[in-house]
Parts: sequence; C-alpha cells; structure tokens
Amino acid sequence: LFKQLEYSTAMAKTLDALNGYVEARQAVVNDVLKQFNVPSHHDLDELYKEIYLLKKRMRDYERRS
Amino acid sequence: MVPMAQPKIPVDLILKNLAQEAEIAQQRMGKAADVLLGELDSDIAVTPYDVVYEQDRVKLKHYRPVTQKKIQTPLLMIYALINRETMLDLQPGRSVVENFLKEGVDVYMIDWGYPTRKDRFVGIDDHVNVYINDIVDFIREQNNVPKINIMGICMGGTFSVIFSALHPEKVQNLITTVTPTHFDIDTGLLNIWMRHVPVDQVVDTFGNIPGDFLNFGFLLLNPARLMIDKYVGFFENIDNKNFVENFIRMEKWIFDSPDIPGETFREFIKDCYQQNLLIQSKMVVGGQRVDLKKLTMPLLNIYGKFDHLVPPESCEVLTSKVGSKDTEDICLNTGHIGIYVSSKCQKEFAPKIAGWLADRDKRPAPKAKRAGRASNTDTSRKPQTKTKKVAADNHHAKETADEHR
Repeated sequence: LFKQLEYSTAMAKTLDALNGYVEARQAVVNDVLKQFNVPSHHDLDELYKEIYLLKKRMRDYERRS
Repeated sequence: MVPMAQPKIPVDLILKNLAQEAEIAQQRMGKAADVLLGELDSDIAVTPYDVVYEQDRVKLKHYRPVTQKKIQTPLLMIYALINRETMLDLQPGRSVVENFLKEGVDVYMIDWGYPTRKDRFVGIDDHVNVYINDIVDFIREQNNVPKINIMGICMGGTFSVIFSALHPEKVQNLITTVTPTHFDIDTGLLNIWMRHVPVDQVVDTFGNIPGDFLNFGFLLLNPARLMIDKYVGFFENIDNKNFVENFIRMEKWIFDSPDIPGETFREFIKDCYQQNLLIQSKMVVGGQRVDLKKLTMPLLNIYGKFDHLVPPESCEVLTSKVGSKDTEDICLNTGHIGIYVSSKCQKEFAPKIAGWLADRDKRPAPKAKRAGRASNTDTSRKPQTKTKKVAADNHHAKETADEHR
C-alpha cells in the first residue's frame, strides 16, 4: 500500500492542503499583527535573510583577507 | 439418580485460569508501580565532554580520554540534522563514543543544536563549507595535524562525503555509516515518498521543517510497529526496570527532534532525493561541483542490511564511484539504529572502525591527489573494493526488533 503511486500522490495532496491551511492561518495572523504594529513572520524573515547574507559576505571578506 | 452431563465448556477451568491470571497481573502491576514510582536511571549522553568550539547554534564536543591515545589522528563524528547526536552515547555500556574512547580514539563530535527561525536560510553550503570546514580547521590547529579522520552518520555522512570531496586535503580517512548517497531506488519508502513531496511549498510555508512533522512522517513509515507494537511491548515488560529505563532512553532520543533549516531541507530533497545528483558527481555546493573522484582517501562504508530508512542499495554504490583505491564495504545484519545501539553491534562496530583507523594511522598520509575532471559516467577505473557481509545469526536478526525506528 505505502509503495503505491496513489498513496504518494494522496500524501502530496494532503501536504498541499496542509500548506494551504497554514498559509491562510498565517495570513490572518499577519493581518491582526499589522493592526498592532507587531512584526510578522514575513517581516522577520526579511530581516533574517538580510542578516544571513551580511554574515556570509563578512565571512567571505574575512577569508579573503 | 441421573448423573449430570459434563458441561461442554469447562467453566471451572476457565475461572481458575482467570483467577490465576488476575493474580499474576496484580503482582505485575505491583512490581510495575515499584518500577515506575521508584528512581529510574534514564539519562542519556552521560560520557564526559568539553565544549571546545562554538559557532552560531553549532557546538563541538571533545570527549575526555579514558585511556592513552592509540590513534594519533583525531576523529570527528558528524551526525545528521535529524534527531540528535546523543544516540551515539545512549547509555553507559551501550555507547559508541565510550567504545571509541576505550579503543584510544580521540573523539570530537558536532552538536548541531536547535535551529530557530533565523536559521531557515542556512543551506548545505553553510553546513559543509562553513560549520564543518571551520570545525575541521579548528581540530587540525588544536592537534597540529594536517588532516583528521571523519566519520559521518546518515545525513551527516552525506555531508561528510560532500566535505571530503570538496576539501580532500583535510581528510585522512573517511568513514560513512548508514549514509545515503544513491537516492534513485525503489526499496526505501522515504525514497519513493520524497519524489512527490512539494518541497518548495512545504519550506515556504513552514520556514524550518518542524521536528514533530518529521517524526510523524517517520511513524508513518511503519505505523503498526511504531505506534502499537512498541507500546504493547512496553506494557508487557512494564515490571522490568532495565527494560523500562532503556525504553525511556530511546523515547527521549526519538522525540528530541530539532527542526531542520528550511533551505537545507529544500536542497537535500531536491538535489539528492529528487534528482540524485550526488552519486553522479553533479551536485553543486557553494558553487563547486562535488566530484566523488576527489575522494582519494581510504573509505570505510558501513550500512545495515535491514535498514528501512537508508536501504543498503542507497549506500553500497558509493565505494565504486570514488577515486580512492582503499575502500571497504561492511553490511551488518541490523537496521538503521541497531548499528549504533544493539548489543551485538556494540561489540563489532567501534572496535572494527578503531582497528581500521589504527591500520591506516601507521601509514604515512597519502598525498591528496587532484583528480582530473573525470566524466560522470566514467567507470573505466574501478577501485579495488572489498565487501564484507558480516554473517547473520538469529540472535542478531532478532535485535532489529529492538529498534524503535
């Protein structure tokens, strides 16, 4: 049963539906947070990405020097 | 007087048996209460160590020696990002780390820590070319050696292979244990399922992949055994203190599941499970192609015959793809976790590796040769490989039932 293509496909669809639910829930939470000027996951992710890229650049410079 | 006919159902006998069984059950419950309410020794990872290096969330453990160093080159153990490295030091007397220390190996181990949301952009390149590379440099500097020994476990083995191919000049000997390198197989459920996972959506939605989410996926691989049999077994042995302690230790380890950094998960699933790039020497990490022909150091490849997470077919191809002429495959009659925790493997695993390392410790380090840009399909130069299938015995086969995953 577990090795059948139908099973894998159904599992992928379930995951897809779960993603849809989590995304929709997050969108509602983001809207609420915005009203109270609280940074959302999305805002923080942007910040995390910038920090990550800056750290990477810094490492590259350190290695080159 | 007419004698009464014998009843067809031996009610007396059934009642007698029931009474006896109730009495036994009562005694067992009494013992079980003593066991569960008494003091239980269920600590894991108790072998003493010092944290000698830290970078971001990553720590390097250095275990305190218990005997004179017999192998001069230090050994770095690289565990997977799934679950924690504590499995290699589950309990005294059942610890790979402890066995290595007894064999005179200088043991270092990476603790990947618990990734948080800020680690979601950390990819394979960062794990291999930053964390592992910096740790290897630290150990080389601390010990004043040009190269060190590396042992990789599962996904950590895949990282070790990638690191050793990108930095062969830093690796004296490479040991891969239950390490997936060939992913295009139909024997493992994970390999089949991962082809259909909408990985981009999952990572974009969750950021990091939650440990509980992964654990649920692992439970689905064998639901009857992992969600029912295991707990039936526990209740059957609930009055056995030793069994209960071991059970709790294993449960502690299984459910201590850090999240996986999203980008690493995305790259691992796409490049390895979905496109099988690593074994074809086509995987690119940090802008560099991972050419397995650059693995010119001695390679010991150990895997489990009954491993349902990383089947033998996923591991055994590696030795025929590398540039090294000193390779050895060992297939043990156990599963994914049994290699490290089963009592039989405890006697074989660490001593075998220590012996293999000791043999190569005496030899001068071979110069890391710069392998040419070999074609990915070039199979003309087959390395001399030795495959050893360790003989099965019933006792050992039964130990696979010990495994919880």
